Amino acid sequence: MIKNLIFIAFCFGAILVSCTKEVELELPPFVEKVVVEGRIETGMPPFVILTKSRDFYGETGLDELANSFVHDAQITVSDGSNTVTLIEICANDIDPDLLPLVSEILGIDPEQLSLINFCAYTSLSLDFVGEVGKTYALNIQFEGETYTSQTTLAPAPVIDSLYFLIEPSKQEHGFGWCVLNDNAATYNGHFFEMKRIHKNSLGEQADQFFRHSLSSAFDDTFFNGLTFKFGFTNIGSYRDDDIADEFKGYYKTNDTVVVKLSSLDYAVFKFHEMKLIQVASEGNPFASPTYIPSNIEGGAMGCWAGFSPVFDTLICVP
Amino acid sequence: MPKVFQKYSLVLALLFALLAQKNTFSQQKYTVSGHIYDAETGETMIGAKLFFPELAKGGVSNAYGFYSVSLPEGTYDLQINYTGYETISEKIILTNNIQRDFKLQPKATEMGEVVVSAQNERANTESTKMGTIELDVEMMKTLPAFLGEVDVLKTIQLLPGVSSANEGAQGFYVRGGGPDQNLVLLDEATVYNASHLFGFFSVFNADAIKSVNIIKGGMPAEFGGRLASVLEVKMNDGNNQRFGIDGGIGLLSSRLTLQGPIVKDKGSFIVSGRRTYLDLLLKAFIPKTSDFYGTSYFFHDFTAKVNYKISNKDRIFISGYFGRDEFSFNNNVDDFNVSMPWGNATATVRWNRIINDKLFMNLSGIFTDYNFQFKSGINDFQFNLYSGIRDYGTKLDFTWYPNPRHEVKFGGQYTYHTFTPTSVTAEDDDVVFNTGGINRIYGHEGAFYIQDEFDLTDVLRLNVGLRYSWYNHIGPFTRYITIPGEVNNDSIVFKPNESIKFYHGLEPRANLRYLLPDKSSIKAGFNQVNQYVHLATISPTSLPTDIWFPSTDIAQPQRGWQASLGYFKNLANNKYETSVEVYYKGMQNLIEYREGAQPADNVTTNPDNLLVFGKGRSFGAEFFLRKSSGKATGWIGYTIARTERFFPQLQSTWFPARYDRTHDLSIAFNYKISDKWTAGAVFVYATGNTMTLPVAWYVHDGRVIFEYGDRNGTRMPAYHRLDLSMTWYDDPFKVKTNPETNEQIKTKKKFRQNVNFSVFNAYNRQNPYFIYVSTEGDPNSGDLKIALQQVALFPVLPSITWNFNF
Repeated sequence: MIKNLIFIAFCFGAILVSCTKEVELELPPFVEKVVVEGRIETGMPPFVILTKSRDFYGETGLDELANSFVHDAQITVSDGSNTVTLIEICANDIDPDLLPLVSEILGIDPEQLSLINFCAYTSLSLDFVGEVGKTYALNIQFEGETYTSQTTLAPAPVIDSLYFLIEPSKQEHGFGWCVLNDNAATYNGHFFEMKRIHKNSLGEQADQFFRHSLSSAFDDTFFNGLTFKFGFTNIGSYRDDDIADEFKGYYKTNDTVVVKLSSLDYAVFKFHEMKLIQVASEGNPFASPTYIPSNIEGGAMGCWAGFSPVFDTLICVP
Repeated sequence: MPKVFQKYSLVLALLFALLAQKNTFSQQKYTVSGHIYDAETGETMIGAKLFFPELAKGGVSNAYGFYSVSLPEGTYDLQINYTGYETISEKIILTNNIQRDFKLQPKATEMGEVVVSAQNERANTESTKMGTIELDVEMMKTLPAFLGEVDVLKTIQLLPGVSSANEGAQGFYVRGGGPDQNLVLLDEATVYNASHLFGFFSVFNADAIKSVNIIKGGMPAEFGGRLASVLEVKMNDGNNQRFGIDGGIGLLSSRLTLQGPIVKDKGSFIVSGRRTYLDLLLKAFIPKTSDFYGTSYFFHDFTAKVNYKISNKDRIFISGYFGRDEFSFNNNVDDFNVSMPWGNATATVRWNRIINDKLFMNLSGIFTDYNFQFKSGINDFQFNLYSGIRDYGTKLDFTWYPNPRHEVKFGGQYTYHTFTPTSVTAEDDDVVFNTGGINRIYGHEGAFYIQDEFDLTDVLRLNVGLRYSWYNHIGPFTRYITIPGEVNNDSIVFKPNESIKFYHGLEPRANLRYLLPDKSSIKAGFNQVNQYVHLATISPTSLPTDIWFPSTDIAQPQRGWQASLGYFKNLANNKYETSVEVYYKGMQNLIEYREGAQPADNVTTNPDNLLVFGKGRSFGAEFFLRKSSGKATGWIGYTIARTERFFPQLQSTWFPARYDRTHDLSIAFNYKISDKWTAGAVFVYATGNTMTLPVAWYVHDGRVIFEYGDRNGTRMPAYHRLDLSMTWYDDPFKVKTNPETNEQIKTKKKFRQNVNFSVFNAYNRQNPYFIYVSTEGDPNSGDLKIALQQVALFPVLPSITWNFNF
C-alpha cells in the first residue's frame, strides 16, 4: 500500500512533464512452460485448465489463445483413498444449455468460451467432490513430463454478519461490509468474491459469476483470533453500463449481493496474493518484479488450488 | 592474543619499527605548527600545502586546517599554496618550536574563475591517495543545476566510478557498491538518507558547505563501516571577520545564510536555511472545493554552526543539521488521507586541541537521527508506520607529526545504535490489529585505528594502517521464529543489555605511491572493510521506506576487500591531471529480500527473517582527465566496469547488479568568457540500467500473468544528456573618485550578485526513468495488447537562480 501511495505522490509531480512511449527491448530467451489452473472446491468436482505460456512479444489474438490449450494430457486427482481421472472437455463439445453453468464455474462469459473453444479437464461424476479436511493430490502427465501438486481444503471461514453503509456524498450508494470471526488456532488464508444477483435493466442477473478485486486475497496475520471487518466494492459495476461512472464501485440501495469467502492453504494463498500484487503493481516504478510462487512440482507454472468457501447474502438496506 | 591480532601482528610490528627507525636517526629538530585560514572569512583551510624548497619537503594542513612540520635548526623559505589564493612566501628562522597561523588571501583577479580542486597542484601525483577526489563547492555553483538547485551529490555522480541511481535522483553507487555502502558524513555525523523529494535533491545546502571529499578506493584506516565509499561533507565554519548574508531565489526553493564573528578572529557562527515552495504552488492549483484539497509537499532544511577559539591551543565547534520532508495526500470524497513526514537531524560537538607542536587532537560527540513516518486513514481505519535510527557516538582522533617523513593518525570511535526497522499500529474503529508491537534493535559499534603515511625513500611513499572494528548486538530484543503458514510461531526474548551476537574483525589498509622520474606516479592500494549496518530495499528505486537495520544474529556483517592500481600524471606544468585506475572488489554477506517478500511482511517478524544472503564482485577501469585552473576548466571521466551478484536462493547463476554500468562517461566543463560571464556544460553517457522484465505471459483466472526472466537480465536504453549553463556576475568593484585628487579608486562592492541560467537536458533526450509492462484489453476477447512502455521524466528544463551576498 505504501509503495502505491508513494506512486500516487510521484505521479502527482511527474504527470505534467513525463512522456511515455512504447519500446522493444531485448529480453532473456523465452522457454515455453506448461501452466496449470486447477481448482477443487467443497462440494464441487475438480477441474484443471492446462495451457502453455507464450513469448512476451508473441501474438495475443484469439487464435493464439485457443492454440495455447494443452490437449491429451493424462490428469488424475487423488484424495488418498480415491483417484479420479479427469477428462478433457471443450466448449464446442458442450450442450449450449450447459454453457451458462460452465461459465459460472470458470468465471468466463459463455460467448467467450465458445469463441476460443475453451478447454478444461474435469470429472463428470459428482462422486468425487471436494471435502473439508482432505488433501487432494494432482498428477499431470504430458509429453513425457510429470507435474504434481497437492492442496488441502481447510475449514471454511465464519462470516459473522454483512451490512451496507451509505456514503453520505453518494446519495443512495455505498459499500458492503463484512464482519469476519477469525479462528485463533489456525493460520487462515482467505479469498473474497462477490456476485450481484438482482436483475439489471435487461431483466438479467447483474453478475453471471463471482468476481474478485485486486485485494481479494488476504490472510489473518494482523487479526488472528479477532473479529475483523472490511469493506468491499462493487466489482461488477465497472463493466455494467447501467451504472454511471460516478457510482462505479458502489452498491445501490436494494442491490442484492452474494458473497463468497473461501479458506485457502498457505501455498494457494501466496499464489493468489502474489498474482494480484503483480496485476495491481502494473506501471508502478517503485514495484519490484513479482515472481509468483507456484505449488506445482516438475517445472510447470500456475496453481492447484483448494477453495473452501462460505456463502452469505447481503441485501443493501442501510 | 586473539587470532585476528596474531594474523596482523606483523603489519603492526613493521609499522612501529619504521617509526622507531626514523626517530633513532633523527637529529635536533624544531617544529613549526599552526592553522591556515582564509584571510577574508577566517575559515580554516583543508589541504593547503606548505613547502620548504631548500629541503624539498613540506606538509599539508589537515581536516581542521592544522599543520605541523619538524625540521632541523636553520633558516628556511616557506611557501604556502592553495589553488585560487595568493601564495605566501616567508622566511622562517627555526631555532626553537614555533606556533604560527597563516592567512591566505583569495586572488582578487580570479573572481568567477572555476576552481575544480581546492588542493595543492601536485597532490594528484605526490600523495598516496587513490580513488579520492576533492571538489570545490564554488565550482559546483557554476555547473548547470537541475531546476536551479545546486546539488553536491549530483556533482559527485559526474566522477568516474560513481554512478547515479536514476534520472534526476541523488542516490549514488560507487564501484559496484550498493547505496547502503556509502558512508555519508556531515561534519562527522552519519546521514542515513541524504535525499529530499523522493531522491531528486540532496539534503546538502551548497551555501552551508565548505568542502566535499569522496573516497571510493584506498580508504584510509581512519574511516570504516562502509564497503564502497566515504563522502565527507564539511560545513562552513562561518566568517570570523565580518557579518555577511548570502542567499538565493530559485524556481523550486529559496535559501538564506547568515554568518559573522562572535568575537573577531576568535569565534564565528553560520546559520543557513532552505525551503521549497511546492506546497504553495499546489495550494494555488488545488482549490478548496477540490476533492484533493489539502494535498501538499514541501521540504526544508536548516544548518547551524558556531566555533570559538578558547585559547591558542583549543577550539570548540558545534554544528547541527535539521531537515524535513512533508508529504500529504487527501481524497476528501473517499475520506482517505495520507501524511508522510521524514527527515534527518544531526549534531556534532568537536573539541580541537593542539596538545603539543607535533600532536593534534580532535574529540567529537555525535548525534544522528533519521525517521520516517507514514500515517493514513480511510473511514474508521487508521494505519501508522514508523521507522527510524538514532545514533549517539563519540570519536577521538590524533594526528602526530613525529618527523617530516611521517604523519601518523590514530584514534577510536564508538556508536550506540537504536534502530526501529518497522513499527506499525493499525486499528479499525474499536478493533486493534496485532502488528507485533515495536521491535527495536540495539547495538554497540566501535573501532580503533592507526595509520602512518611516510616516505620510505624519496620516491616511495606508503600509507599503512590497521583498523579493528567490532559490533555487539544487545537486548532488549525479540527474535521471532516464524514458520510460513503456521500460527504458533515462537519467539526468543533477550533482556536489556544482554549480548546477543558479537562480531569483530581486523581491517588492513595500505596504499603506496612510487614516483617516476618524470614526476608521474604509480599507486597501488588494498583495503578490507567490515560493515555492520544494512539497507533492505524492496523497490528498485531508493525510497524513504527502505529499511535500515544493524547486524544481528542472522544478518552477519558485510565484508569487502578492494585492490586497486593506478597511474597518475600531470601535464603542462600541472595544468592537467590525468589518471588511470583499475580495481577489483569482492563483497560478502550482501543482503536482498527473499522472493515474494512484501513490506507488510516486516510487521509481525524481524526484518532479517525476510532476507537472503549472497556475495558480489566488481571490477573496472577508470580514466580521468582534469584541468583545474585557467579560463577553461573541468574534467572528463570514463569508467568501464562490471558488477555482479550471486544469491543462490534467488538465482543459481551470477547476475548483473542493479547498478551495473558497462560504460559511464561524464564531461564537466566551465569556461570563463569574461569577468562577468561564465559558461558551463555537463554531458553524461551511461549504459542503460539493468532491470528484470517478463519473458512470457499466460492467462490465469481470466487475468494476464507474467513470468519474469533472469534477474536484471534486460537493459534500458542508454542514458545520455547535455546540460548547459551561463552565470552572470555583477562587477565586483565600484569606482570612486577622490574629490581632492580626482584620482579614481576601485573599491570592492559590498553587495554582490550573480544569476545562473541553466538548461537541463538541452537536446530533450527522452531518457528512460522506468519501463513498465502494460496490458490492455481482455485476453478472452481478442483485443489484448501487451507492450513495454518507457516513461521519460524530464524533457528540456530551463531554470534561473538569483544568488546574492553582502
